[in-house]
Amino acid sequence: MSARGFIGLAAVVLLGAWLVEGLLGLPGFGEDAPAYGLALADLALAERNATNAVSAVLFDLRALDTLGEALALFAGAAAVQTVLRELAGEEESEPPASTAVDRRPAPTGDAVRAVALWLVAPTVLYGAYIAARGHVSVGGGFQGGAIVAAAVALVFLAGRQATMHHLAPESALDITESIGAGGFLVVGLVALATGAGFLGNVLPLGEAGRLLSAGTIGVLSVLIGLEAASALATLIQKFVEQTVEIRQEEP
Amino acid sequence: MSAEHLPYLLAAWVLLTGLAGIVTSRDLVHTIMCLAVLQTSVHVLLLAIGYRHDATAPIYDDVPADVAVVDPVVQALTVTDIVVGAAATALLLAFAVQVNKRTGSLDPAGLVALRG
Amino acid sequence: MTAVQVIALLLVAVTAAGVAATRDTTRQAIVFGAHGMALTLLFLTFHAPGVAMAEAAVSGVVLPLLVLLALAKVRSGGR
Repeated sequence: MSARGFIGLAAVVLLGAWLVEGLLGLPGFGEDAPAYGLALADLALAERNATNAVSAVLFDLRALDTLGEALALFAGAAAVQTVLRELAGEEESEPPASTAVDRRPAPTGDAVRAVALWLVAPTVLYGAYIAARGHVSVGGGFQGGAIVAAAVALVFLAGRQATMHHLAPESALDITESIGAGGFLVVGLVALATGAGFLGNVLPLGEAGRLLSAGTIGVLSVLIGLEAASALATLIQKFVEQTVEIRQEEP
Repeated sequence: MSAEHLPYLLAAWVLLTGLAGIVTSRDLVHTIMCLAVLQTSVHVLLLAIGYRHDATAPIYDDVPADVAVVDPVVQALTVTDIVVGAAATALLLAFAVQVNKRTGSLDPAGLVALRG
Repeated sequence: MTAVQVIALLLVAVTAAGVAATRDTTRQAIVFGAHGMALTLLFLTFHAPGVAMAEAAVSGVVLPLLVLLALAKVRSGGR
């Protein structure tokens, strides 16, 4: 190991000693939780009729922070689309682009293909269910969106890359991602227009535990689910395209 | 140092192993994955801070409203960080792919000069 | 602390060390997936089911796939 490596590891050890000393000053594990969080947990059910306190915190009580995260996700997906674009001197073609043996997608086994394709529709349905019921039970927009993106990955893993491009074309993903992030802003501005404050909860609160309850929390959960699913699916598609379809132009 | 602080010490262990992996790495993709592991240490620490003994998940649809729950704010922070962190890791991987196209290698020690 | 929590903590510690120590990046992607699953178990023992769901989907499916695709692009000469 080089001298630089030794110095680096020594620095890591020193940082570790300092960190452990600080962490040992925390109250013991499980003894007490931050008071702010427990106060919000009570508020979520009492004032917003939302049985999922985590979703209430994300989409109502601290919705402004979630707006920042949603826009950061949007920026991340846009950045990957820019970095992995077709550069000057490259061409994009229908798969398989390269004659290199390890660049061609290997023919998928029948078992993998069967299981993966059969799982796609139930996974998308499950993801939509989780996102839509974010305010009632376990789940929320981010979880549902990640599950739907995993379904898109399943189509690729089954070897059906052209199907993946047809099911989730990039133009459609761009639109749904914009609806998700922009819709979050629109809901916030509508709340502002009705006098309640930006991202206030202005829809009827309904009865706790039912699907139509908790006001804007459910709506924002679905919008974020749309955005997270589109952003993650875009990431997968760009990487697949870069690996299998883009290659150096023949001079 | 007692069993009361074990989850915090585990978060420190994960952070330090990730950092040691980054410091001694000779491959950009290896570095990026160690960075992702480092991010998970923060999630563990956050959830450990919000935990309470004899409390349950902050979901009230099948428990009465006055039962003790763990902190929902740190769970909200962690959920958003997991998804946005994945996008950031993907961006880093995209950069690594393009760097490899330009310089032909993924060795961070070889990336010293700024070239037009 | 319950026994399940201690086991989950140990699994996370071992898989984290595994990710840093594995030099071959293809194997490292698989160990990273295992680390994600250990974290999912840990989050469940900490009474955070929503977080466990997000971690399983993202760290178990999406990230290893992206890493393996990047590696395939890099290994074939990157061109």
